Amino acid sequence: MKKQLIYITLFCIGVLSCQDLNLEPKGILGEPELFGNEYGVKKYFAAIYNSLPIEDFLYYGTDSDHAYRPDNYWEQGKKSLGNMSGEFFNTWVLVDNDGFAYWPYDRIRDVNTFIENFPNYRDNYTEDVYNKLLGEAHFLRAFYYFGLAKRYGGVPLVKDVQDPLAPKETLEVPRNTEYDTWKLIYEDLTFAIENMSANTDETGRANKYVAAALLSRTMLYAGSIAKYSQYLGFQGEAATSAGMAGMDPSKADEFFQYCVDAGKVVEAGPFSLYNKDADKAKNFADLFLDPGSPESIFIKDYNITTPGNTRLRHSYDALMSPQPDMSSFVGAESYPPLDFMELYEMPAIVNPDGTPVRFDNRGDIKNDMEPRMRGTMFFDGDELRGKTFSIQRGIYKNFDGLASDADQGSSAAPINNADNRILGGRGWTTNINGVTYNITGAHGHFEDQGGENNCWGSAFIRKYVDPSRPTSDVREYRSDQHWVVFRLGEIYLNTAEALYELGHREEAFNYIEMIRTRAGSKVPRPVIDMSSTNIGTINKANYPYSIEKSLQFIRDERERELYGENHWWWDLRRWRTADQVLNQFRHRVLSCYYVADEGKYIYLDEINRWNRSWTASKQCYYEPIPWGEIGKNNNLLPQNPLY
Amino acid sequence: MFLLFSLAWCPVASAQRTLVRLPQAASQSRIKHSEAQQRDLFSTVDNVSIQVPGSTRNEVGAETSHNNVGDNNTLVAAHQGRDITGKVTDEDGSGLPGVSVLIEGTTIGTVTDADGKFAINIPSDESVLVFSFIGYTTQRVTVGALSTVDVSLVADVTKLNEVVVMGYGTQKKATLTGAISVIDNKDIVRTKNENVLNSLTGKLPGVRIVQKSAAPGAYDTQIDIRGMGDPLFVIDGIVRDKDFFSRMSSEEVESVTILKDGSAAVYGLRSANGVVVVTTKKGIANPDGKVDVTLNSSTSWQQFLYVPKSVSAADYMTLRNEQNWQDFGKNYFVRTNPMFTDAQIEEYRNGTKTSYDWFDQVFKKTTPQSQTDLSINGGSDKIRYFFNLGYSKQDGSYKSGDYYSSRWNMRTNIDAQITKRLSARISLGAIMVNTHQPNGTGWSTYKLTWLTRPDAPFYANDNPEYPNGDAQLLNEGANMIVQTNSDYVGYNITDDRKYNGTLTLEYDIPGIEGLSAKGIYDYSPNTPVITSYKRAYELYRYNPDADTYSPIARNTPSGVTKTFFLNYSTNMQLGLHYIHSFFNDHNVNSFLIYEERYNSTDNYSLYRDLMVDSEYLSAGEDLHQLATQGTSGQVFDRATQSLIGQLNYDFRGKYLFDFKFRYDGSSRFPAGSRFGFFPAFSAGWRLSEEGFIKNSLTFLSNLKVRGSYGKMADDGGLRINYPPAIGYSLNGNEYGWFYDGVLTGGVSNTGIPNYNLTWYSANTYNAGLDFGFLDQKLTGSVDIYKRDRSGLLETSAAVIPGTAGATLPEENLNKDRQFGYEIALRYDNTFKDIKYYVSGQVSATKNMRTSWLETPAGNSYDRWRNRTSGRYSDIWWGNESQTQLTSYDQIQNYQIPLGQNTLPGDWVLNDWNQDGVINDADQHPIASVGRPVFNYGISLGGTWKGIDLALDFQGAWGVYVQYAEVLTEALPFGGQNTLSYFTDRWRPVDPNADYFNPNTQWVAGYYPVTGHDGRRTGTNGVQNASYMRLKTAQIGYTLPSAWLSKIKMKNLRFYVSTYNLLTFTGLKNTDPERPTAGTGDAYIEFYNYPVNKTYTIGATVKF
Repeated sequence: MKKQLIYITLFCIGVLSCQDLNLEPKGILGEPELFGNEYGVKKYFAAIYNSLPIEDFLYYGTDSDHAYRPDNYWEQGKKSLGNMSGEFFNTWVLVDNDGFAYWPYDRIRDVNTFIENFPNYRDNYTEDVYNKLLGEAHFLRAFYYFGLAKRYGGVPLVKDVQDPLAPKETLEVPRNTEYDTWKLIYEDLTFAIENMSANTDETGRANKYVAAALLSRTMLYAGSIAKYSQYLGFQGEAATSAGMAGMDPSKADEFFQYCVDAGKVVEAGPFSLYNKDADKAKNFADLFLDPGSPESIFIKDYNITTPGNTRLRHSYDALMSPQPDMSSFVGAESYPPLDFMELYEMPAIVNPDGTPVRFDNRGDIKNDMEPRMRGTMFFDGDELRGKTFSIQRGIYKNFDGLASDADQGSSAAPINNADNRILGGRGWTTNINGVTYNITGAHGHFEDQGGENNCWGSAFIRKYVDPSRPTSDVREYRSDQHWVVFRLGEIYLNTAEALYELGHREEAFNYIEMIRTRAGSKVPRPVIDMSSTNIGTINKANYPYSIEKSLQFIRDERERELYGENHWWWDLRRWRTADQVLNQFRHRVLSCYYVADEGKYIYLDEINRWNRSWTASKQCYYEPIPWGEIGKNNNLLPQNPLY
Repeated sequence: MFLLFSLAWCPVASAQRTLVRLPQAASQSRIKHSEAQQRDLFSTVDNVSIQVPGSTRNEVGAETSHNNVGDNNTLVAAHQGRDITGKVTDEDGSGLPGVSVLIEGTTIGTVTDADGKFAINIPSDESVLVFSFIGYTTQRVTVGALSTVDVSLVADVTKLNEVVVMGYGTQKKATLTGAISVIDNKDIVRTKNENVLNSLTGKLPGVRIVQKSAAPGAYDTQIDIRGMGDPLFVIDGIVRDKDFFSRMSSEEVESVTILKDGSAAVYGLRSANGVVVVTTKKGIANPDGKVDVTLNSSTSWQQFLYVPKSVSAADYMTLRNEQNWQDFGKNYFVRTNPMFTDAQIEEYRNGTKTSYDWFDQVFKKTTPQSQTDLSINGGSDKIRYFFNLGYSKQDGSYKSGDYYSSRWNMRTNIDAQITKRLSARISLGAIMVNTHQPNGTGWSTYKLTWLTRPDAPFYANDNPEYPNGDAQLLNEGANMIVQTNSDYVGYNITDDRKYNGTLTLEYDIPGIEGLSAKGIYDYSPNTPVITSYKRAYELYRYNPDADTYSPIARNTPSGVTKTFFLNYSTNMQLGLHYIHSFFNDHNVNSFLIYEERYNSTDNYSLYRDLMVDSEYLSAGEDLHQLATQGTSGQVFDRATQSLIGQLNYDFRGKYLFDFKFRYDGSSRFPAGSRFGFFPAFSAGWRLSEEGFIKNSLTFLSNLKVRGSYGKMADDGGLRINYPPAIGYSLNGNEYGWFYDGVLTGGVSNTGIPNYNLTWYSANTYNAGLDFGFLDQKLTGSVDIYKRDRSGLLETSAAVIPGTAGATLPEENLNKDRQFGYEIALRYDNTFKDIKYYVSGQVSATKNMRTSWLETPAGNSYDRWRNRTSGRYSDIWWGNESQTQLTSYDQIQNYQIPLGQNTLPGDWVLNDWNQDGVINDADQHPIASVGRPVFNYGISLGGTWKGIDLALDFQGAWGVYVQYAEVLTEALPFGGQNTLSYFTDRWRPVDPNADYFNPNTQWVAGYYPVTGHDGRRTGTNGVQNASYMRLKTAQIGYTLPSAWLSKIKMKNLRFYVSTYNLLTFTGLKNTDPERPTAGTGDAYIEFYNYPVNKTYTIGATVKF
C-alpha cells in the first residue's frame, strides 16, 4: 500500500512539471531580421510592391471592395477598366468611378516605418546599397500617393509614423492641397532618382529609371490637371480657396517641365523601342510578351503556381479568346469597338458614293491596315493557337443601297427586314437559292446569345494575349504573362505631350515620329496643325476648351499606342474630357455581312446590339474622400466638389 | 405569445390523462450505469446504506459511517423473527436484480439476486419492507401475515434522484442550483440521424440546434445555448469540440448535460457561451457475471427537402423573351429582336424537341443510409468494460453515386479496481470519417444544376460519347452530369481521424473519510488528410454546320493535392475530491483541481501536376510542384493552466449552496493580463422539503427556487494565437513579389500591440424555479437569465483616422447583453397498462449591444439609421412595399415619381418619411432579423404492451429571412434557367406586345414582369421562416421476454422511425432550418446540400 502511494506520488511529481505559458510564437520575424540585411528588406518590400496601385490584368476598377484584391477575380475580364471606360466593349459594366474608397495609408505607414527606422541599420550596409534602399522606399511612397492624388486631388500627406494611441487631435491630420500632393510625389521621386542605382538587371524592382518613369507619368498628370481643371467650373471651397481639388493653371508648366526632365533621365537608360521582328504587327504584339523586351522599364511578373490570394496569376488569355477553339474557359469577354479602330489607319468601308465597299474575303479588311492595329487586335483570318478567327454577323440576300440605308443595324430599316438580312445563332445555316450558307462566323456574331464568347464586332483583342499557351491550358488563373508597368513608348508619349503643352511642337513630334515609325504608320510625322478645335475624336465629343489639332493628334496617338493598357480612363480624367467623351456614348461596332447575290462581303458601321450607352458624370474627376474617414476626422473637409 | 403557446398544450396533456400508463421497456432502466448514480442510492434511502453489486470505493468510503454493513454483497440481518421470501419484478414481470430490501426503521436489509428474488428475516409482522432501486419508485409493504412478498416496482419518472454529470464532478438533480438541462441515452437514440447533435434538437430548453445541410460527412449542424454562440464541448471531462461530438455514435453516449448559467464558470476561459458536458457509457457489472451484447442496426432512406425545380424549355424561352422586352433601355429607340423566335418556342410546345431535365439527371430522389452499432458491456466488481463498435454509411444525392461518407466509431471504457483504494479507468476512442466527393463540386452543385438551360442537351448532338460542354448553353460551361461524376472530374477524399486515450487514476486517501485523489491524462491526436485529385477531362461542342465535335478541355492540367493536418492536444488534471456527510445533515461535495492543457496545430500541403492519367502524388511532375504550409494563423500552439475548485454544501437537501471558481491562465494573452479568476455562486431552497409545504400542500411534490451568478470568459474571438508583439508575420500566401522572376513571399506587420489585451468576460445571472405536482406527474421548470458581456474585442478602427495607417490592435472595448427565459414542462402518467408522457419546452432570447464603439454619427438621422449602440441587434431595416400597380393609368397618375421602366404588376415602396421621393431614406425597422423570437419543442410518447411510440416536434417562431439569387430572381446571372414558380408572373396577353404601350393588355400573376423585382424588395422580401417540424416519429415493438428467453435473447425490439417527416411552415421553396444563424443576417442558405427526410427501419438485439 505504502509502496503504491510512493509510486503515484512520484509519478504525479514527474508529470507536474508545469506547462510554460510563454510559448514561442511561430512564424513571426522581428525588425532586425528584415531591416538588417538586403534580402530582409526585399522581403519587407515584397508586400509593399504587391499592393502598389498598378492597374494590371487584375484591376477591378468598378468593384467597391475588390479593386486591387478581387475575390472572384477572373471576372475582371468583364469588369475591367477598359470595359468601364468604353475602350473595350462588353455588355456588363457601366461607367463609374472606381469609387472604392482607396485609402492605402497602411502601406504608406509601412514605408514610413522603414524610412524612420532604417537609419538604425546603416552600419550593416555600404553607402550605395543603403542609399539605394532608402531611395526605393521613397519611390514606393510616391507610387501610393500617386494612387491617391489621381483619385482625390489633395490628401493628407503623412510622412512619419504616427502612434495610433496618441491623442486623437494629433491623428486628425488635415488635407493638403492638390499642388502639395503632387509636389510630394515629385520630391520623393527626385530623392529616389538621386539615390537609386542605374542598375537595371533586376526586373520587377525599382531603380533610378523606374522612378524617373513614374515621375514622367505623374508630372504629366499634374500638368494637365493644373491646366484644364479651370474648365470644369467647379465651385466650393475644396476647388477654390482651399485648392484641394484642382490647381492654378499657372502651375501647369512647372509640372510639364518636370515631366520632360524625367523623360530625359529615362532616355539616358539602356532602353529602346522594341524592334526585334520585321513584321511590324507581330513586333508590336511581341513587345508585351517578350520578357527580354528592351522597351520595358518596369514589369510586374506573374506565375501560375503562386498562392491565389497573392494576385500573382491571372486569367487574361481565357477572357480574351473564344472558347473552345482558343480558350478552355468561358470565352472572350471584351471586344474592340469601331470607335477605337477608327483611330488607326484602316481601309475605308464606305465608298465615296456612300455604298459599302465590297471585299472578296472577310480578311481583306486587314489589307492596308496599320500594322500596330493588327498587333493590337485580331481580325478574321488571323491565327491563334492553331485556329483561325472566323467572324461574321450575318447575310444580306442583296444589298442594293447605301451603307446608311442599314441605319446602323436597326431592325427597323427596310433593308434589314428579316427576309433580306439573315441573322442567326452558332452553326445556323440558311438556304438561299439552293445554296446552304453558314449565317455566322465560328466565333460570332451570334444573335441568340449575349456578349460572352460571342464576338460583337469584327475583332478580338490581341494586345497581351499569349499565343504560346496551349488551348487546353487557357483557363482561369492559368495565365502568367507579365504586365508592363512602364515602357519607353509611354515615356515618349508623355514627353511629347508635355513638350507640346510647353510649346515645343517640333521637338514633341520627334517622339511621335519614333512611335509611329515603329508602329508602321504610313505617315510617321504628320505636319503640325496649329488650328484649334474643341471636337474630340471619340464620340465627336465637345471639349469644354479648344486645343490645337496637333495636340489632339498626340492625344489620339497615345490611345493608338496604349490601347488596352488601362491608360484611357485616367487620361480622360486628367484632360477633363471624360464627361464629354462618355456622354451617351453608344459603342459602334464593325459588322461583317456576306452579300449573297454578289458573293462579296461588306463591313457596316452599327450601333451595339443592346443599345447600351455609357455616360460619365462630372463627379468622375474627383472621388469623394471616404465618408467614413471624414466621420473619424473632420479635418478632411472640405469634401470634393459635387458630393 | 409564448404563454399562449405553453398553455395550448396543457389541455392536450390533461385530455390524455385518461390514457393508460404503459410499462417501461424492461431493459432500459433496469440498472443505471454510473457509479455516481449508485452513490446516490445511499442518500435517497434514509439512514441506511447497502452495498450493491458493482459499487465501488466511493460507496465503501461512504458506508463506513454506518454500521453493520459488510464488505461483501450479502445481507446483514438480525437473528430473530421469521423468514420472508419474495421476488421483485419490473413492470414487464422480469426479475429485478440488485433491489435493496430494507426493514423500515432499521438498518437491516438485503438485495435481490439475479432473478430478483430475496430472502429476509423480519423481526415482527408489523415490519414494513422498503423496496428501493434507482430509477424506480420506492415501495413500502407491511408484511402482516405474508410469508411471500412479491413486489412489482414502477419506474420512477421524477428523475429527482438522478445524478447529473457536471463540470469535474457529479451532483444530484434534486440539489442542483444552476440552470442545467440533461438528456440521457434513451431520449437521444430515438432520433435516428448520423449526427448526434441532430438527435438532441428540440429536446433541451434553451438549446437551439439547426441542421443546415445533410451533406454526407459534413455534419453541418449549428448549436447555441441561449443564443450565445458556439458552446464549449466537454467529453468525459476533457475539452473537445463540436466536430468531435457530432461524429460520435449516439449509442456510446450515456448522457448530455447542458450548463447554461454560472455553473459553466467551472470551465473558466471559453465557458462564456455555456458548456455541453457529454458522458460516455461505462461498463457495469452484472450480478450474474453475464455479458450484455447489444446489436443495433438500422437502414434509412433519405429524401431531400425543399429542392425546387427549374422550368422546361418552352417556359424558359418565353420568360427570356419577356425579360428582354421589359428592358426599357434596350427597347427605347429601336425594339431589339426577341431572344427566341416563336418558331423556336413552338418546337418545344408541339413536341418536335423535348426539354432536358437536368435536375433529374444529376440527382437521385432517394438514397440509402445505414448504421450499425455493436456494444459489449459487462464485468465483475474488479473490472468492468464497455466496448462499442459502430459503422455508418450515408450516400449523397448525386446520381453518379460518387458522393458518400462512411464512419467508424470505436470506444473502449475499462474501469479497474486495482487495489481496495486504487482504481483506474482507461478510455480509448477513435472516430474515422471518410468522405468521398467528386472534385470541384460542393456548394455550387445545386446552383449550377438549377441554372442549366433546359434546351441544353446532356450530350452534344445527343450522342452519349460526347458530354455536352457548350458554354453558350451551360452556365460557366459546367455539365453537371459530368461534374458530379468522379470518373471524369476526379475526387476529393477527406479522411478525418480523431483519437483519444485517457487514463484516470483515483486513489482513496486513507485516514480522512471521503477524501480522494484523482489524476487524469489525455492525449488526443486529430490528423485529417485531404486528397484532392483534379482530373482533366473533355467536354464537347457539336458544330452542326460541319457535323464535328469540338473538344473543350476542362480541369487542365490534372493534379493532385494532399493536405495533412497534424493536430494534437494533451490535458492533465490532478485533483483532490472531498465528499462527505456530517451528522447525516450537512452534505459537502468539494474538490480542488489543477489542470493543464496544451494543443498544437500544424499542416502542410503538397501539389503536383499529373501528366499521366494517375491519381498518385508520386506519379506527378516536378515542374510546378508545390509544398506549402499554413501561415502563422494556421500553425500555432496554445497552453492553459488552471486551478479549479468547488464547494457544494446542502443542509438536509433543503438549503443548497454552491461555490465554484476557476483561476485560469492562457498563453494567448500577455503575461500581465494572462490569469483570471472566475467565480460562480448559486443557492437554492427546496421549499417542498419544509414541513409547512410537505404537510399542507401535498399535491406539491417538489418546489425549489434557485439563483446563480457566475463570471465566465472566452478567448475564442481572438484573432491572434500569441501575445501581442511587434514583429512581422510571414505572409507569403497573401503577399509576394517577383524580383527578377523569383517569387519572394512577403510579410505583414503584426500591428500595434495592445499589451493589456485580455479575454472578454461575461457576467451571467439566472433565477429559476423547479416544481413537481401530483407525485411528480407534472414537473417543470422556469428560468430567466441575463448575460452581460464586457470587453468584447474590437479594434478602434471605427474612431482612429485611417491616415494613421496602423493595423490597430484588438482592444477589450464593446459590451453586449443576452437575456431571455425558458420554460419546460412534463407530464407523465399511467393509465392501466398504458404509460405516456407529454413534455414541452420553450425558450426565448434576445441580444442587444449595450455599448458599442462606433464612428460618431454625423447627424441625428445618421445616429438613428446607422448606429447600433444601445439597441437590440435584431433590427431589420428596409422599405415598406406599398402597392402593386395594376394598370398604366395608375402608373401615370401616381403622385410620386416612378422609374421610366415601371410596368403594370410592379410594386412601389412607400414614401415613409413623406418627402416626396422613394429612396433609402424611407427605410425603417420592418422585422426582426437573425435568431427566432422563440424556439420550442414538444415530445410525446407512450408504451403499451411492448409497443412504444415517440414523437418529437421542434419549432421556431418569429424568424424572418430574405430570399436571394435564384430563389428571388427570375433568370438570374444574365439569363440562366429559372425556378418553376416564376412562371406565375405578370405578362402581356400578346407575348410580342410592346410593354410600354398603354394599350397593352396584361395577365396578372404573383411575380411582376420577368426581370422586375418587386417581390424581393421592401416588406415583400421579408419571408416568415417560422416553422414546426416533426423531427422524430418512432414506433417500436419489443417482443415479450417470455418468448425471447427461449431463444436465449434478452431483448429484441423492432422499430420504424422517421426524421423530419412533417414540416409546417409558411416559407416556400427552401428549408426553414437553413437560415444563417448569425445575428443580423437575413439571407438563407439554399445552394448548399439540402436537409433530408429519412425513413428508418431497425432492430435492437440484446444477448
